[in-house]
Amino acid sequence: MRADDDKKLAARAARGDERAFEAIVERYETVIYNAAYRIARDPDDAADITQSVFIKVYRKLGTYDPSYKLFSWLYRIAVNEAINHVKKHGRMVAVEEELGRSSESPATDVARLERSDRIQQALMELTIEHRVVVVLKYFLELSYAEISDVAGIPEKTVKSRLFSARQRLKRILTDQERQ
Amino acid sequence: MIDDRAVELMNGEMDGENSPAESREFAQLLESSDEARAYYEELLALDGRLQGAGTVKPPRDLRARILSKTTRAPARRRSRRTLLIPDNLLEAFSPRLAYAFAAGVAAGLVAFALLAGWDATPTAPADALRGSLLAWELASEAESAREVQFEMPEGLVEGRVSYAGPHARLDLTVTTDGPAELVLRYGEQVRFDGLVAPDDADSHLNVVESETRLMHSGSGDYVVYLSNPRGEPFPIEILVCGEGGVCYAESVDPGP
Repeated sequence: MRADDDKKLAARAARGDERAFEAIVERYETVIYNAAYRIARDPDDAADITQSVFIKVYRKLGTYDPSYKLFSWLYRIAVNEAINHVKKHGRMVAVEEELGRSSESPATDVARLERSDRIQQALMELTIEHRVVVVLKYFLELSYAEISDVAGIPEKTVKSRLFSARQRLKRILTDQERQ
Repeated sequence: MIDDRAVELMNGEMDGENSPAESREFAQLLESSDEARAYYEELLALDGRLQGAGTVKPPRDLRARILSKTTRAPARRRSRRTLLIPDNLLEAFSPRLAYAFAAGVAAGLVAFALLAGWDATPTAPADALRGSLLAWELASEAESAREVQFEMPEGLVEGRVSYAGPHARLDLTVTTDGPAELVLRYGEQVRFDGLVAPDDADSHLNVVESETRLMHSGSGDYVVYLSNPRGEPFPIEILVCGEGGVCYAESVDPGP
Protein backbone atom coordinates (compact mmCIF):
# COMPACT_ATOMS: atom_id res chain seq x y z
CA MET A 1 0.00 0.00 0.00
CA ARG A 2 1.33 3.41 -1.00
CA ALA A 3 -0.02 5.18 2.10
CA ASP A 4 1.72 2.70 4.41
CA ASP A 5 4.86 2.98 2.34
CA ASP A 6 4.66 6.78 2.61
CA LYS A 7 4.39 6.57 6.38
CA LYS A 8 7.40 4.28 6.61
CA LEU A 9 9.38 6.62 4.38
CA ALA A 10 8.36 9.62 6.49
CA ALA A 11 9.33 7.82 9.70
CA ARG A 12 12.73 6.87 8.27
CA ALA A 13 13.30 10.38 6.93
CA ALA A 14 12.39 11.86 10.34
CA ARG A 15 15.10 9.65 11.87
CA GLY A 16 17.62 11.18 9.49
CA ASP A 17 17.57 8.64 6.67
CA GLU A 18 18.41 10.83 3.69
CA ARG A 19 17.59 8.11 1.17
CA ALA A 20 14.03 8.02 2.51
CA PHE A 21 13.73 11.78 2.12
CA GLU A 22 15.07 11.55 -1.41
CA ALA A 23 12.41 8.92 -2.15
CA ILE A 24 9.69 11.28 -0.86
CA VAL A 25 11.02 14.07 -3.09
CA GLU A 26 11.16 11.72 -6.07
CA ARG A 27 7.59 10.55 -5.46
CA TYR A 28 5.96 13.96 -4.98
CA GLU A 29 8.16 16.41 -6.86
CA THR A 30 6.16 16.35 -10.11
CA VAL A 31 2.72 16.52 -8.55
CA ILE A 32 3.66 19.38 -6.23
CA TYR A 33 5.39 21.23 -9.05
CA ASN A 34 2.24 20.87 -11.18
CA ALA A 35 -0.05 22.06 -8.40
CA ALA A 36 2.23 25.05 -7.81
CA TYR A 37 2.37 25.76 -11.52
CA ARG A 38 -1.43 25.64 -11.88
CA ILE A 39 -1.88 27.97 -8.92
CA ALA A 40 1.00 30.39 -9.56
CA ARG A 41 1.16 30.11 -13.36
CA ASP A 42 4.87 30.86 -13.74
CA PRO A 43 7.27 27.91 -14.18
CA ASP A 44 10.08 29.57 -12.22
CA ASP A 45 7.72 30.48 -9.41
CA ALA A 46 6.44 26.89 -9.41
CA ALA A 47 10.01 25.61 -9.05
CA ASP A 48 10.69 28.03 -6.19
CA ILE A 49 7.45 27.03 -4.46
CA THR A 50 8.26 23.31 -4.86
CA GLN A 51 11.72 23.85 -3.43
CA SER A 52 10.34 25.80 -0.45
CA VAL A 53 7.74 23.09 0.16
CA PHE A 54 10.35 20.34 0.41
CA ILE A 55 12.64 22.43 2.58
CA LYS A 56 9.71 22.98 4.96
CA VAL A 57 8.80 19.29 4.81
CA TYR A 58 12.40 18.36 5.63
CA ARG A 59 12.47 20.69 8.62
CA LYS A 60 9.03 19.70 9.89
CA LEU A 61 9.27 15.94 9.43
CA GLY A 62 9.61 15.53 13.17
CA THR A 63 6.16 17.08 13.64
CA TYR A 64 4.40 14.92 11.03
CA ASP A 65 1.58 12.90 12.60
CA PRO A 66 1.48 9.47 10.91
CA SER A 67 -2.22 9.09 11.68
CA TYR A 68 -2.71 11.45 8.69
CA LYS A 69 -1.84 10.62 5.10
CA LEU A 70 1.56 11.94 4.09
CA PHE A 71 0.24 13.36 0.81
CA SER A 72 -2.45 15.37 2.65
CA TRP A 73 0.22 16.88 4.84
CA LEU A 74 2.52 17.60 1.89
CA TYR A 75 -0.28 19.08 -0.23
CA ARG A 76 -1.44 21.27 2.63
CA ILE A 77 2.07 22.72 2.93
CA ALA A 78 2.20 23.09 -0.87
CA VAL A 79 -1.16 24.86 -1.13
CA ASN A 80 -0.29 27.28 1.67
CA GLU A 81 3.08 27.98 0.11
CA ALA A 82 1.54 28.56 -3.33
CA ILE A 83 -1.20 30.84 -1.97
CA ASN A 84 1.32 32.90 -0.02
CA HIS A 85 3.52 33.14 -3.09
CA VAL A 86 0.66 34.28 -5.32
CA LYS A 87 -0.43 36.86 -2.79
CA LYS A 88 3.10 38.25 -2.67
CA HIS A 89 3.91 38.04 -6.38
CA GLY A 90 1.73 36.80 -9.22
CA ARG A 91 2.73 37.01 -12.82
CA MET A 92 1.82 35.62 -16.22
CA VAL A 93 3.92 33.97 -18.93
CA ALA A 94 3.22 33.06 -22.53
CA VAL A 95 2.53 29.57 -23.81
CA GLU A 96 5.88 29.56 -25.65
CA GLU A 97 7.69 29.31 -22.35
CA GLU A 98 5.95 26.04 -21.65
CA LEU A 99 6.92 24.40 -24.92
CA GLY A 100 10.37 23.41 -23.78
CA ARG A 101 9.05 21.95 -20.56
CA SER A 102 6.55 19.36 -21.70
CA SER A 103 7.62 15.75 -22.15
CA GLU A 104 5.63 14.84 -25.28
CA SER A 105 6.36 14.99 -29.01
CA PRO A 106 6.44 18.50 -30.53
CA ALA A 107 3.13 18.12 -32.43
CA THR A 108 1.27 16.72 -29.44
CA ASP A 109 2.98 19.33 -27.31
CA VAL A 110 1.70 22.27 -29.31
CA ALA A 111 -1.90 21.04 -29.44
CA ARG A 112 -1.93 20.11 -25.80
CA LEU A 113 -0.23 23.28 -24.69
CA GLU A 114 -2.63 25.46 -26.63
CA ARG A 115 -5.47 23.67 -24.85
CA SER A 116 -3.60 23.73 -21.60
CA ASP A 117 -2.85 27.42 -21.96
CA ARG A 118 -6.50 28.29 -22.49
CA ILE A 119 -7.35 26.28 -19.39
CA GLN A 120 -4.52 27.94 -17.52
CA GLN A 121 -5.65 31.41 -18.55
CA ALA A 122 -9.16 30.55 -17.46
CA LEU A 123 -7.86 29.24 -14.14
CA MET A 124 -6.02 32.49 -13.53
CA GLU A 125 -9.30 34.38 -13.83
CA LEU A 126 -10.72 32.48 -10.87
CA THR A 127 -10.28 33.72 -7.34
CA ILE A 128 -7.38 32.03 -5.57
CA GLU A 129 -9.83 30.09 -3.34
CA HIS A 130 -11.69 28.69 -6.34
CA ARG A 131 -8.48 27.99 -8.22
CA VAL A 132 -7.04 25.97 -5.34
CA VAL A 133 -10.11 23.75 -5.17
CA VAL A 134 -10.03 23.14 -8.94
CA VAL A 135 -6.31 22.33 -8.85
CA LEU A 136 -6.76 19.90 -5.96
CA LYS A 137 -9.64 18.24 -7.78
CA TYR A 138 -8.22 18.00 -11.29
CA PHE A 139 -4.46 18.09 -10.98
CA LEU A 140 -4.04 16.27 -7.68
CA GLU A 141 -7.16 14.14 -8.22
CA LEU A 142 -8.44 14.43 -4.66
CA SER A 143 -11.92 13.62 -3.38
CA TYR A 144 -14.14 16.20 -1.67
CA ALA A 145 -13.09 14.87 1.75
CA GLU A 146 -9.39 15.01 0.84
CA ILE A 147 -9.73 18.54 -0.56
CA SER A 148 -11.49 19.54 2.64
CA ASP A 149 -8.58 18.14 4.66
CA VAL A 150 -5.85 19.72 2.53
CA ALA A 151 -7.48 23.13 2.08
CA GLY A 152 -8.74 23.23 5.66
CA ILE A 153 -12.34 24.02 4.71
CA PRO A 154 -15.59 22.10 5.33
CA GLU A 155 -16.68 19.61 2.68
CA LYS A 156 -19.77 21.72 1.99
CA THR A 157 -17.53 24.65 1.14
CA VAL A 158 -15.45 22.42 -1.14
CA LYS A 159 -18.58 21.50 -3.06
CA SER A 160 -19.90 25.03 -3.36
CA ARG A 161 -16.51 26.41 -4.42
CA LEU A 162 -16.03 23.66 -6.97
CA PHE A 163 -19.51 24.13 -8.44
CA SER A 164 -19.07 27.91 -8.63
CA ALA A 165 -15.60 27.53 -10.12
CA ARG A 166 -16.96 25.23 -12.83
CA GLN A 167 -19.73 27.68 -13.64
CA ARG A 168 -17.22 30.46 -13.95
CA LEU A 169 -14.76 28.37 -16.00
CA LYS A 170 -17.53 27.40 -18.42
CA ARG A 171 -18.32 31.05 -19.00
CA ILE A 172 -14.67 32.08 -19.36
CA LEU A 173 -13.90 29.31 -21.84
CA THR A 174 -17.02 30.07 -23.87
CA ASP A 175 -15.99 33.73 -24.02
CA GLN A 176 -12.46 32.73 -25.07
CA GLU A 177 -13.86 30.70 -27.95
CA ARG A 178 -16.03 33.56 -29.14
CA GLN A 179 -13.03 35.90 -29.36
CA MET B 1 -34.74 25.97 -14.74
CA ILE B 2 -31.65 24.37 -13.13
CA ASP B 3 -31.94 24.68 -9.38
CA ASP B 4 -29.24 24.29 -6.73
CA ARG B 5 -30.19 20.69 -6.04
CA ALA B 6 -29.83 19.80 -9.71
CA VAL B 7 -26.39 21.47 -9.87
CA GLU B 8 -25.29 19.57 -6.76
CA LEU B 9 -26.49 16.22 -8.18
CA MET B 10 -24.74 16.81 -11.51
CA ASN B 11 -21.46 17.85 -9.94
CA GLY B 12 -21.61 14.98 -7.47
CA GLU B 13 -22.29 12.47 -10.22
CA MET B 14 -19.43 13.76 -12.32
CA ASP B 15 -17.06 13.60 -9.34
CA GLY B 16 -18.20 10.10 -8.34
CA GLU B 17 -19.36 11.45 -4.97
CA ASN B 18 -23.09 10.70 -5.19
CA SER B 19 -24.66 8.04 -3.00
CA PRO B 20 -26.75 5.34 -4.78
CA ALA B 21 -29.92 7.24 -3.86
CA GLU B 22 -28.50 10.48 -5.23
CA SER B 23 -27.44 8.72 -8.43
CA ARG B 24 -31.03 7.48 -8.90
CA GLU B 25 -32.31 11.03 -8.30
CA PHE B 26 -29.78 12.32 -10.85
CA ALA B 27 -30.90 9.75 -13.46
CA GLN B 28 -34.53 10.81 -13.01
CA LEU B 29 -33.53 14.44 -13.36
CA LEU B 30 -31.83 13.83 -16.69
CA GLU B 31 -34.75 11.78 -17.99
CA SER B 32 -37.21 14.53 -17.16
CA SER B 33 -35.32 17.64 -18.31
CA ASP B 34 -33.70 18.51 -21.65
CA GLU B 35 -32.23 21.58 -20.02
CA ALA B 36 -30.59 19.45 -17.30
CA ARG B 37 -29.17 17.09 -19.94
CA ALA B 38 -27.70 20.01 -21.91
CA TYR B 39 -26.24 21.52 -18.76
CA TYR B 40 -24.72 18.19 -17.73
CA GLU B 41 -23.16 17.73 -21.16
CA GLU B 42 -21.51 21.14 -20.82
CA LEU B 43 -20.18 20.15 -17.43
CA LEU B 44 -18.80 16.91 -18.84
CA ALA B 45 -17.08 18.81 -21.66
CA LEU B 46 -15.46 21.14 -19.15
CA ASP B 47 -14.42 18.16 -17.05
CA GLY B 48 -12.78 16.59 -20.12
CA ARG B 49 -10.89 19.78 -20.92
CA LEU B 50 -9.59 20.12 -17.38
CA GLN B 51 -8.52 16.49 -17.28
CA GLY B 52 -6.82 16.85 -20.66
CA ALA B 53 -4.70 19.80 -19.57
CA GLY B 54 -1.85 17.40 -18.90
CA THR B 55 1.19 17.36 -16.68
CA VAL B 56 4.01 19.86 -16.88
CA LYS B 57 7.46 18.41 -16.37
CA PRO B 58 9.49 20.05 -13.57
CA PRO B 59 12.92 21.52 -14.45
CA ARG B 60 15.56 18.81 -14.68
CA ASP B 61 17.70 20.24 -11.90
CA LEU B 62 14.86 20.82 -9.44
CA ARG B 63 15.41 17.62 -7.46
CA ALA B 64 19.15 18.25 -7.17
CA ARG B 65 18.42 21.79 -6.01
CA ILE B 66 16.01 20.56 -3.35
CA LEU B 67 18.36 17.86 -2.11
CA SER B 68 21.36 20.17 -2.06
CA LYS B 69 19.43 22.44 0.30
CA THR B 70 18.08 19.70 2.53
CA THR B 71 20.10 16.49 2.74
CA ARG B 72 23.85 16.69 3.32
CA ALA B 73 24.59 15.52 -0.22
CA PRO B 74 22.71 15.58 -3.54
CA ALA B 75 20.99 12.45 -4.81
CA ARG B 76 23.74 10.26 -6.04
CA ARG B 77 24.17 6.86 -7.48
CA ARG B 78 26.96 5.07 -5.71
CA SER B 79 28.98 3.06 -8.14
CA ARG B 80 32.10 0.99 -8.13
CA ARG B 81 35.17 2.99 -8.90
CA THR B 82 38.23 2.23 -10.91
CA LEU B 83 41.77 3.47 -10.50
CA LEU B 84 42.98 4.92 -13.79
CA ILE B 85 46.62 5.74 -14.32
CA PRO B 86 48.13 6.86 -17.63
CA ASP B 87 50.18 4.27 -19.51
CA ASN B 88 53.52 5.99 -19.02
CA LEU B 89 52.97 6.01 -15.27
CA LEU B 90 51.73 2.44 -15.29
CA GLU B 91 54.93 1.31 -16.96
CA ALA B 92 56.89 2.81 -14.11
CA PHE B 93 54.40 1.97 -11.36
CA SER B 94 52.13 -1.00 -11.74
CA PRO B 95 50.06 -1.04 -8.51
CA ARG B 96 51.74 -4.15 -7.16
CA LEU B 97 55.20 -2.80 -7.93
CA ALA B 98 54.24 0.59 -6.54
CA TYR B 99 53.09 -0.84 -3.23
CA ALA B 100 56.17 -3.06 -3.06
CA PHE B 101 58.32 -0.03 -3.81
CA ALA B 102 56.52 2.03 -1.17
CA ALA B 103 56.90 -0.76 1.36
CA GLY B 104 60.58 -1.01 0.49
CA VAL B 105 61.10 2.73 0.88
CA ALA B 106 59.24 2.74 4.17
CA ALA B 107 61.26 -0.21 5.48
CA GLY B 108 64.47 1.48 4.31
CA LEU B 109 63.52 4.76 6.02
CA VAL B 110 62.69 2.97 9.28
CA ALA B 111 65.99 1.01 9.16
CA PHE B 112 67.90 4.20 8.34
CA ALA B 113 66.14 6.09 11.11
CA LEU B 114 66.93 3.37 13.63
CA LEU B 115 70.56 3.20 12.56
CA ALA B 116 71.03 6.96 12.45
CA GLY B 117 68.95 7.70 15.55
CA TRP B 118 66.50 9.94 13.59
CA ASP B 119 62.96 10.78 14.56
CA ALA B 120 61.06 8.44 12.23
CA THR B 121 57.79 10.46 12.19
CA PRO B 122 57.00 11.02 8.48
CA THR B 123 56.71 14.71 7.58
CA ALA B 124 56.86 14.89 3.78
CA PRO B 125 56.84 12.53 0.84
CA ALA B 126 60.21 11.23 -0.26
CA ASP B 127 61.61 13.22 -3.18
CA ALA B 128 61.89 10.04 -5.19
CA LEU B 129 58.12 9.62 -5.13
CA ARG B 130 57.09 13.13 -6.09
CA GLY B 131 54.91 13.27 -9.16
CA SER B 132 53.32 9.90 -8.57
CA LEU B 133 50.07 8.88 -6.91
CA LEU B 134 52.09 7.54 -4.05
CA ALA B 135 53.37 11.02 -3.31
CA TRP B 136 49.86 11.96 -2.37
CA GLU B 137 49.17 8.79 -0.47
CA LEU B 138 52.34 9.35 1.58
CA ALA B 139 51.88 13.10 2.00
CA SER B 140 50.84 13.91 5.56
CA GLU B 141 48.50 16.89 5.00
CA ALA B 142 47.38 19.14 2.19
CA GLU B 143 49.00 22.56 2.51
CA SER B 144 45.91 24.34 1.22
CA ALA B 145 42.47 23.44 -0.06
CA ARG B 146 39.76 25.17 -2.05
CA GLU B 147 36.10 24.21 -1.85
CA VAL B 148 34.34 23.83 -5.20
CA GLN B 149 30.60 24.06 -5.71
CA PHE B 150 28.67 25.22 -8.71
CA GLU B 151 25.16 24.58 -9.87
CA MET B 152 24.05 24.19 -13.46
CA PRO B 153 20.58 23.75 -14.93
CA GLU B 154 21.57 20.11 -15.56
CA GLY B 155 23.13 19.35 -12.19
CA LEU B 156 25.71 20.11 -9.58
CA VAL B 157 29.48 19.88 -9.04
CA GLU B 158 30.89 19.95 -5.54
CA GLY B 159 34.04 18.93 -3.75
CA ARG B 160 37.49 20.30 -3.05
CA VAL B 161 40.88 20.82 -4.61
CA SER B 162 43.81 20.18 -2.24
CA TYR B 163 47.33 21.35 -2.88
CA ALA B 164 50.61 20.06 -1.43
CA GLY B 165 53.49 21.84 -3.12
CA PRO B 166 53.33 21.11 -6.82
CA HIS B 167 50.72 18.35 -6.35
CA ALA B 168 46.99 18.82 -6.62
CA ARG B 169 44.27 16.39 -5.72
CA LEU B 170 40.68 17.01 -6.83
CA ASP B 171 37.85 15.26 -4.96
CA LEU B 172 34.72 15.99 -6.96
CA THR B 173 31.14 14.76 -6.90
CA VAL B 174 29.42 15.44 -10.19
CA THR B 175 25.65 15.03 -10.48
CA THR B 176 24.00 15.60 -13.84
CA ASP B 177 20.62 14.62 -15.24
CA GLY B 178 22.03 13.27 -18.47
CA PRO B 179 25.34 12.69 -20.25
CA ALA B 180 27.91 15.41 -19.73
CA GLU B 181 31.61 15.89 -20.21
CA LEU B 182 33.82 16.70 -17.25
CA VAL B 183 36.82 18.75 -18.38
CA LEU B 184 39.81 19.74 -16.28
CA ARG B 185 42.09 22.38 -17.76
CA TYR B 186 45.54 23.24 -16.51
CA GLY B 187 48.85 24.51 -17.88
CA GLU B 188 50.77 22.57 -20.49
CA GLN B 189 53.53 21.87 -18.01
CA VAL B 190 51.15 20.09 -15.62
CA ARG B 191 51.09 16.31 -15.62
CA PHE B 192 48.02 14.14 -15.18
CA ASP B 193 49.03 11.50 -12.62
CA GLY B 194 45.88 9.46 -12.20
CA LEU B 195 42.18 9.26 -11.64
CA VAL B 196 39.78 7.29 -9.49
CA ALA B 197 36.45 7.32 -11.33
CA PRO B 198 33.12 5.52 -11.54
CA ASP B 199 33.38 2.42 -13.73
CA ASP B 200 31.31 3.87 -16.53
CA ALA B 201 33.64 6.83 -17.02
CA ASP B 202 36.85 4.93 -17.71
CA SER B 203 36.31 4.06 -21.38
CA HIS B 204 35.88 7.72 -22.26
CA LEU B 205 38.92 9.15 -20.54
CA ASN B 206 40.93 11.44 -22.80
CA VAL B 207 44.11 13.05 -21.50
CA VAL B 208 45.83 15.58 -23.74
CA GLU B 209 48.63 18.05 -23.10
CA SER B 210 46.81 20.61 -21.02
CA GLU B 211 43.50 19.02 -20.17
CA THR B 212 41.70 15.86 -19.09
CA ARG B 213 38.25 15.03 -20.45
CA LEU B 214 35.93 12.26 -19.43
CA MET B 215 32.34 11.42 -20.17
CA HIS B 216 30.00 11.46 -17.23
CA SER B 217 26.38 10.48 -16.67
CA GLY B 218 24.20 10.54 -13.58
CA SER B 219 26.12 10.91 -10.37
CA GLY B 220 29.69 9.96 -9.60
CA ASP B 221 32.65 10.64 -7.34
CA TYR B 222 36.03 11.40 -8.89
CA VAL B 223 39.52 11.79 -7.47
CA VAL B 224 42.05 13.30 -9.87
CA TYR B 225 45.78 13.64 -9.24
CA LEU B 226 47.83 16.29 -11.05
CA SER B 227 51.34 17.57 -10.53
CA ASN B 228 53.69 20.18 -11.87
CA PRO B 229 57.23 18.87 -12.61
CA ARG B 230 58.45 22.47 -12.34
CA GLY B 231 57.69 22.31 -8.64
CA GLU B 232 55.07 25.10 -8.46
CA PRO B 233 51.40 25.06 -7.52
CA PHE B 234 49.10 25.72 -10.48
CA PRO B 235 45.52 26.87 -11.20
CA ILE B 236 42.90 24.45 -12.51
CA GLU B 237 39.70 25.14 -14.41
CA ILE B 238 36.84 22.68 -13.89
CA LEU B 239 34.16 22.56 -16.59
CA VAL B 240 31.05 20.49 -17.07
CA CYS B 241 29.59 20.55 -20.58
CA GLY B 242 26.06 19.37 -21.26
CA GLU B 243 24.66 17.72 -24.38
CA GLY B 244 23.97 21.07 -26.04
CA GLY B 245 27.65 22.01 -25.74
CA VAL B 246 26.97 24.60 -23.03
CA CYS B 247 29.70 24.49 -20.39
CA TYR B 248 29.70 25.67 -16.80
CA ALA B 249 33.08 26.39 -15.27
CA GLU B 250 34.82 27.27 -12.05
CA SER B 251 38.49 28.15 -11.69
CA VAL B 252 40.56 27.15 -8.70
CA ASP B 253 43.74 28.97 -7.82
CA PRO B 254 46.20 27.63 -5.23
CA GLY B 255 46.57 31.15 -3.80
CA PRO B 256 49.65 32.61 -2.14
